[in-house]
Amino acid sequence: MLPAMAWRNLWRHGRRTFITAAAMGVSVAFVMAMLAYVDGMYGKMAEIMIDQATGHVQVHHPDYPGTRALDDTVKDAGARIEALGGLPETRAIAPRLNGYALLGGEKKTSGAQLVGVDPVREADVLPVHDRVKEGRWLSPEPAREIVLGRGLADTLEVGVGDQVVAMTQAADGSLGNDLYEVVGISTSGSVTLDRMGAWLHLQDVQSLLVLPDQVHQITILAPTSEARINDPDVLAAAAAVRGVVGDSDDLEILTWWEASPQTAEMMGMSDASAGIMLVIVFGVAGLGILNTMLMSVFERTKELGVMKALGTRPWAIVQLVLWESLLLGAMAAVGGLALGGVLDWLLVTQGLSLTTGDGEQLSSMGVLFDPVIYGVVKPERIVTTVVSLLVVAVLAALWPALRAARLEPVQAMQDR
Amino acid sequence: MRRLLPALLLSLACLGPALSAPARAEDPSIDDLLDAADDIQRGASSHAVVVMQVKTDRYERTMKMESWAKGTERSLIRILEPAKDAGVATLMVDDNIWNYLPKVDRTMKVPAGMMGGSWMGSHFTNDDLVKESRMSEDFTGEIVGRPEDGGVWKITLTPKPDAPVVWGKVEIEITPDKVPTVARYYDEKGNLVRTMTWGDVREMDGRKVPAEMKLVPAEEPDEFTLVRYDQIDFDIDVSDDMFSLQALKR
Repeated sequence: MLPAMAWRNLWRHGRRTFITAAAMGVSVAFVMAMLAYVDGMYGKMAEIMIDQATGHVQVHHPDYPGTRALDDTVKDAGARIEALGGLPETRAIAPRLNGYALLGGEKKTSGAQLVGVDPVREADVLPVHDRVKEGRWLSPEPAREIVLGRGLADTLEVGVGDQVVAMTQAADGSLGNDLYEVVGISTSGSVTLDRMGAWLHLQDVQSLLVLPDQVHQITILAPTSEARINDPDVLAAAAAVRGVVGDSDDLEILTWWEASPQTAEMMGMSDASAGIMLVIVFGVAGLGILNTMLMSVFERTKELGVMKALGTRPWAIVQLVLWESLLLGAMAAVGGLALGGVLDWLLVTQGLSLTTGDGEQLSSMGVLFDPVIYGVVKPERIVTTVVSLLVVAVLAALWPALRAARLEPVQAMQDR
Repeated sequence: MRRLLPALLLSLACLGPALSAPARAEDPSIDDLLDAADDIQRGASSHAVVVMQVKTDRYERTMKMESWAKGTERSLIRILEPAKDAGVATLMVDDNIWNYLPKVDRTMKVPAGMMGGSWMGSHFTNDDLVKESRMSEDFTGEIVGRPEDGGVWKITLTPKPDAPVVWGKVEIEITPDKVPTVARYYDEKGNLVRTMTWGDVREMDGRKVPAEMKLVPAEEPDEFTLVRYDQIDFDIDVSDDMFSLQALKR
């Protein structure tokens, strides 16, 4: 009976109720859209990091992340990769050998970050068409070919078909140098990689750096597409890899959030920014409800006095006011979900373009954004939003409800 | 003093007069000592065969090289051994360095950003090869020890405000014959960065020169780069064409 009364009470001031509910509903929709956008953005950054740097699970020499030293490598790489190849918990396995070299075109030179890859396995990690925008990807067999980042190719003033020289200090201290043919130009989405990155066949880099059958990291992808910390698929893959490779002194097996704590922290920031947004938006919405409910209690002082005089218990009055607020919140939630759903749908399907007026791309933390960010809708975010709204509605109505319950019937009935 | 390697690769032409100068009873000025130590590493021209031994935690290698120098601004080093690196040549003109890579038949200029990097895997940087600095001009010296009882001059150098040097302090020891024996290089915080020692003074091409120099980085006391002369000829007849990009390819 109380909910029905509360519902009727709400519509005694239909316009006020509607405006309050609409304001709260718009807040819900706004929060939903912002969360989808932020999750899309951070998720994209994490994906780029996973695809191009860490993988979901990574095997490397325990000293390598700290030293980045040329000879802190995984030895017997070929056999280890073969052994990992058959694991059902993994989707792709890519060995990588990194080195710094001076690259020279016909006229210009530039420092470059060389990445030696297995062209076939690497293509499983990042589809070739996502990577190479001009020319082609490396041949499966070593043929002294090189794929350059867009910015690096521009710096060197070379294009597909040209030759570049690489010069570097090899692991044995000798002056490693060789000549490579540019077969493709890559646009990866990472500012650093586009400006500095150069991909070569693993064996070509092994011979340049004098590191036979060695790699710096084995990058493993789990069969999951989401960048989520503590993803069970990733944990399962890490456990499977540990089972095959074993935890020895010269090897370390890390998940991506362990390998790149700054990315994990960044993902944490998305949770924190979601929290801050919820607090601000619903703080304001809560004040709106408080105002509405206070007004509604004040103007009903006489009526509430009569109810009490007729024997309504204070607890029933508290419940009545709370029901009114809760129903108001529920209406706002329904409207907000509808509007937010439309906004989310637009964000997911159309995306939001970040291009500035002159068409320049945006970058943050070294990751260049594909100019269109697509929203990512996480059900748990929506549940949190709606539950927060309802909790706020109840909390904001507590004071007006208690005030109404404590009215002295005689005095209240004298209210004009 | 930062011209460490060519220090020896260059010809030490002024050493002779410095050594033959009679030891006098009164103190020479600091500038005299520093100029003599600086000039021990400079000459009109030279040709040398040098063995460089590099030991690091990660590798150990020995290279045999041939070098030519003219004045203080032009030098050329060609690697003779080991076979893998044979023919690699480094040309230094003013503050620029080019490497010739015979395997790919290309010449590459070392860019500014890599001048601080290692030269041929040694503890010398590319900058060490070309950066010119004159102690008496770039530093203020203070004599902190005198050559009593067969000792050496000990001089502490602090850079002048605008001097183009990276060190915060250099301690150098010079024999009464004005031959440097040891130099310790400190950074701006006063931490020892590296120590250079000169040794095995002997006569080559009619002059007494330290035939060995050893550089030890302070952070890795087990590592070193040792440069030793097998042969050196002073005041040779060498044309300017020797120090050109065309000649580099020969």
